[in-house]
Amino acid sequence: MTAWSTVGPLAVLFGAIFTNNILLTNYLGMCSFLAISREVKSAVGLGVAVTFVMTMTNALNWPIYYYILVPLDLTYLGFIVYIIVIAGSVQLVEMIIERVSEPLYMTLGIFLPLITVNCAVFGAILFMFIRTYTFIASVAYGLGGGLGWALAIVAMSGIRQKIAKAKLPKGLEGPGITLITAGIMALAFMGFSGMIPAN
Amino acid sequence: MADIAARAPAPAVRKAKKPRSKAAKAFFDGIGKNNPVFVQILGICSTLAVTNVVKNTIVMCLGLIWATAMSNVSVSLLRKWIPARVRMIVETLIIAVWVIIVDIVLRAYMPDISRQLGPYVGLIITNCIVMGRTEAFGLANPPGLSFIDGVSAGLGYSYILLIIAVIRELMGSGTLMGIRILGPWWTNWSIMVMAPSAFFLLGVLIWIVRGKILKEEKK
Amino acid sequence: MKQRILTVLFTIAITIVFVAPISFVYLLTKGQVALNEEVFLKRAVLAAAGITVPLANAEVVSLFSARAEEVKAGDDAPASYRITSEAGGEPAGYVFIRTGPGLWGEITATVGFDAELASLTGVDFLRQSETPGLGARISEKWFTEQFRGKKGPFTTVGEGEPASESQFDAITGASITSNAVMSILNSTISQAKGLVK
Repeated sequence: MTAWSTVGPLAVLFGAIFTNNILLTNYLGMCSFLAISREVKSAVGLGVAVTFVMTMTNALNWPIYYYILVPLDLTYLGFIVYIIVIAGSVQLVEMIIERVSEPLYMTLGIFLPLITVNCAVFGAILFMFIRTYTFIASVAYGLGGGLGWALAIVAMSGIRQKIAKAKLPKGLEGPGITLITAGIMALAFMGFSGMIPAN
Repeated sequence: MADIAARAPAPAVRKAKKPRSKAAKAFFDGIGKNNPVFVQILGICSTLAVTNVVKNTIVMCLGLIWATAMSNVSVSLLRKWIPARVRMIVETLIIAVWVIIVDIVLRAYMPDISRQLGPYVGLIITNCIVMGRTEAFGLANPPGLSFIDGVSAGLGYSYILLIIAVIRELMGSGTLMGIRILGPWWTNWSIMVMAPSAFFLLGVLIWIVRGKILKEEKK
Repeated sequence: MKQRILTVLFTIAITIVFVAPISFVYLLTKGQVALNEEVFLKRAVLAAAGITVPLANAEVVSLFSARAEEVKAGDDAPASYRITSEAGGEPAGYVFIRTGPGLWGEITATVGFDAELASLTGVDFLRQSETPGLGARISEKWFTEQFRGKKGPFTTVGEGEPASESQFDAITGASITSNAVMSILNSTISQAKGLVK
C-alpha cells in the first residue's frame, strides 16, 4: 500500500544538510540552541551527539513502524514509541560520551538529556514517515538531518561569538539578534535549492 | 548552565494593577511581566512553520493551549509520585498523550486542517514551553492553579504567533482566514510565505517587546 | 547502570498506563477517520472527472458509486477509474491516480481524461508535502481548475499569464514543484492508452 518515495539516499542526505535543513527550513531544534552556542566547541559536541541520536532513532523507528505498528494497526501510538526509542538512544549516547570524553560530558551538562525532547530529532522521525522514505533513505535523512542541524548550530555559534563584541540596540541582544541571524542564514540556504534536481 | 526550572516563560502585557488572588496571579503572571521573553520565543520555534496561514495558526494554538493546560494538570496530580530521575521522560509521555488526542480528534473532525498542519501537531510534544511549564509550575503546584497557568502560558505565546501569522498571511497572500483583504494592487511578498520571514518577524517582535520592558525597568 | 535500567523500566510502566485513554479516543474516532480518507479520495476522483463535487459526504459517496467504477489492472498498478456519463452506458472518461516525485516528497494526483483519452477533464491532488504557501498551492482551486479541457504534453508559463491548450500557469516561487506536476501529467498523458485495458 505504501508508495515508496523514489528519492535516492544521497539526494536525501545532501538535501537534509542544505536545501531541506531541519533548523533553517523546518524551524526545528532551536530550543536547546540559544544557551549552548556560546562556544563553537560545545556546539560541535552537541551537534555530533544529536547527529548520532537522529541517525539511530531513524534507523530504529523505521522497522518498528512498518513491521510492528502498521500490521497491528497501532500507528496512533507512534508518538509514544518514538519518544521511548529517543530516550533510550539518548541514554546510550550519554553513556558513550561519559566514557569517551569526560570534559565534553561536563560541558554539555543538562543538554544531553535534553536531546530527548529536541524538536529536530522528533521532527526527523515524523518527516521520514510522511515522505515515505525507504529504510536507507530514512537513515540517510537522520544522518543528514543531524549534520545539517549541527552545521546550522555551529555556524550560528561562530557568528554569535563574533558579534558578541558588537554594539547592539538593547532590545536586540540575545534572542532577537539570533533570530535575525537565523533568518539571514535561512535565506542563504535557500540559495542551495537548485542543488538537488528533482529526478 | 541554564536550568530549565529557572525558565518561566511569558511575553509582556500590561495589565491593571490590583490585589490578586493566587489564581489571578497565576493567570496574569503566565501572560504577564517579569519573565524572560526569550525562552518563550524559543518554544515558538517549531510552531512558526504554520504561521503563514492564520486559520492553521489558530487551530495550532488551541491545540497548544489544550496540551499545555492538560499536561500541567496531569503532572500536578502526579507530582508527589514521579521519581526525580525520570521526571523529564514522564512529563514528555504525559504531554504526548494529550497531543495524540488532539491529533486524532483533528484527523477525525477537521481533516483538511489536519492535513495542512501535518507533523507540526505531533511536534507540540517537544515544544519547549509545554515541557517548561510542567517543569516550572506543574511539578510544584496544585492542579487548579496548574491548569490556569497552562492556559495563560498558552494564551501568552499564542498571541505572539497570531501577530506573526496575520502579518505573514496578509503580506504573503493578501488574505486573512482565506478571505481576500488586499486587492489586486498588492503584489504578494513571497518571502512572507517562506521560512526566513518568520525568523525575521519574531526577531523584530522580540526587539520591540524587550525594548519596551527594558525601558519600563529603567523608570 | 542500574539507575539507567530502572529509568527505562519505569517509563515503560507509565507508558502502558497512558496508552489506555489514547486507545479509547482512537477507537472512538477510527470509523470517522477512515471515512474521511475514503471521502477525500472520492472527492478527488470526481473532481478530476469534471463532475461537480457535492458538499455533503454522504452525497459524495453515493455519486461516486453511481458514476465511478474502479478498474483493477494488476496488483502493482496504480488505481484507475472508469467514469460513466449521467445517462449510463458508454464510459464518459477515465481517472488515473498517478504518483511522481515532488520537491520534498511524492506528489499523488488524480488525472481525469475524456473518453478518447485526448484531453483532460480535470486534475486534483491526493498527497503532496510541498512548501506551504508555495508549492503546496497546487492544491488550490485556481491551479487545479485550469487543466479542464486542456491537452498535453504541457509546458509551463508564469503565474497569471494566459495559457494555451498545452500550457498551464506555474506557481511563482515554486518552479520545482510546478515542473514536478508537469512531469506527472506528461507521463500520464503519454501512458494513458496503455493504462486502460
